[in-house]
Amino acid sequence: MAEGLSKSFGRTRVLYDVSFSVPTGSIFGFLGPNGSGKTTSLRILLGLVFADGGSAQVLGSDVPRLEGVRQRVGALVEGPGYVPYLSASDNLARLLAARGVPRRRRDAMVADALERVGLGSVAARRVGRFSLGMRQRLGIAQALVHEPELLILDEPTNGLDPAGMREVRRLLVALASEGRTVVLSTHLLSEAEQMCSGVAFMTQGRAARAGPGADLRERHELSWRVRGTPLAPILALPGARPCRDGSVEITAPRREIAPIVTHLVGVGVQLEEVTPLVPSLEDLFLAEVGEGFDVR
Amino acid sequence: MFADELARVFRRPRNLVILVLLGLLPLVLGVVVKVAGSPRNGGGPPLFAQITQNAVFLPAAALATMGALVLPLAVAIVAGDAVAGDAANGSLRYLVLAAGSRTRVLVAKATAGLVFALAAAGVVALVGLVVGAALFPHGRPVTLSGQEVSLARGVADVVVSALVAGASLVGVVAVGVALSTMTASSLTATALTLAIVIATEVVGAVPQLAGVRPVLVSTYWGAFVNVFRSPAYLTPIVKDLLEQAGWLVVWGTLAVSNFSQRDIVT
Repeated sequence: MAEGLSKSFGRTRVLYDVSFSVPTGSIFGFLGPNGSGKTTSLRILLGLVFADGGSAQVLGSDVPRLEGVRQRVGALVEGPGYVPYLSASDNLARLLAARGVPRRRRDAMVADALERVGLGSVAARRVGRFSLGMRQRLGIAQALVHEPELLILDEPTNGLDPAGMREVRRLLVALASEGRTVVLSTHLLSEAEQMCSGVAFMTQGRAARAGPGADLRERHELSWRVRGTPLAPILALPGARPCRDGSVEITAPRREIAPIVTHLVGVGVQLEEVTPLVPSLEDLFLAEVGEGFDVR
Repeated sequence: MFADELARVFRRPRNLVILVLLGLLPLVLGVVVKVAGSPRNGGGPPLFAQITQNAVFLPAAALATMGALVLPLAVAIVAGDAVAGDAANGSLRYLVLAAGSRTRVLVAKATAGLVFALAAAGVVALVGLVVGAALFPHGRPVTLSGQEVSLARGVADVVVSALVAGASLVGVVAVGVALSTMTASSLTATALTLAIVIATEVVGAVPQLAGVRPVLVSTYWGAFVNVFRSPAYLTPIVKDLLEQAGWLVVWGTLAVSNFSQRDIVT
């Protein structure tokens, strides 16, 4: 949970009063264009960057004093980080050692994590020889290796081919189904659409809107497809737009659709269809953020 | 965590090359002295005149020769890379996250740097001893005080002198690690560390600045040669170790203070 986070780097303000909370056991999408403040927010949650103002809690511990919960948090922030002349296994074992995991348990944990991300066969290979996609998988393995309750993943599918992206998405869904909480920062709205039950939109250092995806859709002004005869009373509705298939699209909040239907029936329209056009995350995002990317 | 940090230092190909090069220098020195002979009238760097008398003086002469620049350079490379290397790789954030405590990360890295300093001096001493035994007499050595001692005592003196020479580099380790927390460039941290070392040596050589010599990191670097007296003259060695401890405290405090408050954005 974050409350009123603010942060500047030098004279550049990068976060303004950012607040959001993440329900446990879900996949929460942290969405926004490049430069919107997603990564800085995540770094603050992880205790890597110090906020100028506001507060945050991770698994009940106040940020940045996370010593008590470090075993329960795994992260991939702004790409993988590794020692290139060490093998994949040794890189993971190094992090387990830093976490104080006993040596006798490390091998099994490392093997399991590498297997989960499809790197089991190259465990002994030096990471400097890995492809971009393999390094990204290793980054995910680094986040997973100590079996954390909370995963904070910043663009985890970067650099992966379509099959790899699908595998990672499946993996994240599987992790959430095991009761883990996943905070997924991404600019791929389709990715968030597929996986996230809640989202926060970041734009220009602000959390424009946050909450469960269904709630956001509910609050959003819906479009409706209306089909009936005669057409004239339907086209006379405010903001009505005729469609090529003979229907009419209107925009109205859910609470106003019943009076509209009553009105149309009252003026003699024989309605054949009144269907809500559920907005995609992209529609919601663009409604909040506007078209185009404003990278500061 | 310390063991894994140590493994990172000693498995880095570049650091292994440094150790190999350090080992080559006593070999070259031994061959040159064997071919050309000792300097006449006891001239040249410390202990050179004694090399041809007994094998135990080759490692001592090598340490004395390399102690002013080569060993500090080797240690500065490793210490400057301690934090900056991980920052450049992008692995620092994960290490800090895993360790929880930034001070713990720093202590592990500084300790690994100190072990490397001891290893560097140890390699010079070991290779020097082996080459010395191969090229020069290895009977009972005569100490710098003119007293003949057993070969075992001579070898023990070499071991102690290597330990003291390694410990004399604590200040360089502290400076290197502290500067390494301030940049993501190992090269920058190493260069600045070396610049500070050279600056202290220059200041130490200016007679008008004799008053500041006691606090310069390099003032007592040659103190280990006093191990080869009988009995060993410990005062400069103790001063050296106290001075290194002082540099460790000052630069260590700076390192902890900077690293614990710094945003990790690399």
